Amino acid sequence: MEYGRAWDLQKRLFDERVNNRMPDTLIVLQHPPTYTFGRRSNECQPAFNKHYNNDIALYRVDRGGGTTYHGPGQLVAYPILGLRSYTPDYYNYLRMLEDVTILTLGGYNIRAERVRNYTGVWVDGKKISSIGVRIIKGITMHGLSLNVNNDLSPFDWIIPCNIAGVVMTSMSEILNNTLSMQKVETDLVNNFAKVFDLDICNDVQYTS
Amino acid sequence: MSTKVIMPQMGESVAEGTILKWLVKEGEKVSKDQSLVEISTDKIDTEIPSPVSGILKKILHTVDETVPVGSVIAEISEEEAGEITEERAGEVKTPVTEPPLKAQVSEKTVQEEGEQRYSPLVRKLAREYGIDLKKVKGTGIGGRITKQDLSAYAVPEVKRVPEEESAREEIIPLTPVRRIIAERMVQSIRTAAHVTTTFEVDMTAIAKYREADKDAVQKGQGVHLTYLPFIIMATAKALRDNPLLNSSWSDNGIVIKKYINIGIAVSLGDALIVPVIKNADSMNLIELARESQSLAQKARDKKLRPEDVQNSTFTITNYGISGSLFGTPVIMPPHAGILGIGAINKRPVIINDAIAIRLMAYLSLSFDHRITDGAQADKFLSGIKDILEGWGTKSEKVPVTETGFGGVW
Repeated sequence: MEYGRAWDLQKRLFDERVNNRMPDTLIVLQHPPTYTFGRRSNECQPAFNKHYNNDIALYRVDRGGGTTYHGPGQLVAYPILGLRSYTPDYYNYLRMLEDVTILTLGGYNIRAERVRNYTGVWVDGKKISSIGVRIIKGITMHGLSLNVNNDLSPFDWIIPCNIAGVVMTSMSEILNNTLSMQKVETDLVNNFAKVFDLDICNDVQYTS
Repeated sequence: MSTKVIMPQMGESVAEGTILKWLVKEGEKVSKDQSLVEISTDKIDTEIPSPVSGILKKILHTVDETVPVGSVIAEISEEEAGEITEERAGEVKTPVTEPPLKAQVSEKTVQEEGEQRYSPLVRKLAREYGIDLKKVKGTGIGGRITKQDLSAYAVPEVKRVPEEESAREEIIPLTPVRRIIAERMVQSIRTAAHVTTTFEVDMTAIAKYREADKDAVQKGQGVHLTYLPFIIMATAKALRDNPLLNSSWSDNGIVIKKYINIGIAVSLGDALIVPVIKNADSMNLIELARESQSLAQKARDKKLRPEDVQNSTFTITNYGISGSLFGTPVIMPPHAGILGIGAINKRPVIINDAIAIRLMAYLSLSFDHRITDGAQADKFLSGIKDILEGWGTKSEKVPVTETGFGGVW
């Protein structure tokens, strides 16, 4: 789903959730190639300024964290949750999102870990999952991205998450194999349910 | 009257936040819960809602300023009369108010009974040392707990020992962890009616199974297959069959837990911590091996999170690793029992009137005699024994004679 449309959907569901008209919801999707700049994005991205040629959509968004790239083959999860029922601690929420990814990767025999002070999930020193969230009135939006099969080269032109020199990786790069997005998605959703101790009810398909 | 708006505590590990944008200007009206200001930390953006209705009197920190948690960032002068009752009720769920007036102090105490506020440092220290903050008396502003209060609680002043004695004796100050272990153990002995029963278990089948699989498991799964996951698995199964051992005593009745969360005692040199394997009965051997090792590692690295040590329903303690043959472990409250694993050694055993060499271990179960009696406890323990001895042969018992292993003297 195109980033702007997905963002609108998030905002709509967020409002629904704030007004208690909707239960906690998890959106899982893929975006076409898009760069997003978070509130903490470093303005100085020389390589980006030099190479950017309008092929890739560009959004300045209302989430924490720095710049990142989304594209086909990357799984994106946006939980719209009333956070207090799970944890009162905003940062523990980030740790829980990391757990979801770490568990999912574990199912593919990829040993992933946290790196202290660098939110996200890492495999052998390379970053595989990024996190940036917005929490207003106790309700969360934005979330995490997990590189599954996606092209990693667009990350070269930005400083992902303001970490200079970071190298990104993906599940397919590690396993040397293209993975079923459907399966990774199901695993991610199940692990989300596990970490947040939830039952997932039937998928609600979004039709515009 | 005016109310201060403070930079909220967004997480235990967060010390500051950056002001992104003021959504209300000085002098403008705000209503309660209206967003006042956008703030951001490294990964989270959020907004601070107004704690009260009123007029934004003063903005104390401007855009792009990074402000420590707990600092006052704005002042709101409240509108008089009318809505005040409503606001008071609302304050309970809004953690950002700090009413400065003495008249409100009594309300504030009520508000904070449910949810006391602590500084990040205090929370961190309390968690590290396992101190229950509710028991600590605060001497800071408004009864807040300071770091000094914590250390005073943790290490009370050591009474002076007369000069001549002090040369030949030494006092080791009690660490908070030591204090908590002491409290819990004494509480357990005082309340639970401890009985310990011991079975001898033939671990030869497990050893064979383990020998055959451990290299493959190490290579394929990256986990070291020890005896422990086998025992956890057998215990989880036996707990399912004997729910009384997976319960706690209460004056209203025995509370049977429908979930099986097994705590594993991990020795940390000067202390003991019991991380918990959640839903152990739903895990396979490899998962149990991986989980128990990762929890033990986290315990040693001091990386356990509160949820890693909570909600256990039964405990296993493996004193066999330090060579002990059997023990009489103390039940961890509020559990109904604790299983102790003795050292696994080769011993001469009589099988079919011949002496064989078998790998044997004593498993000891301490149970709370208030909850269950010896016969049921022994049924539980013999259930574990049967599973372990029959490993790999499904429900069958180990064959009575074994020629390929050990030897007949």
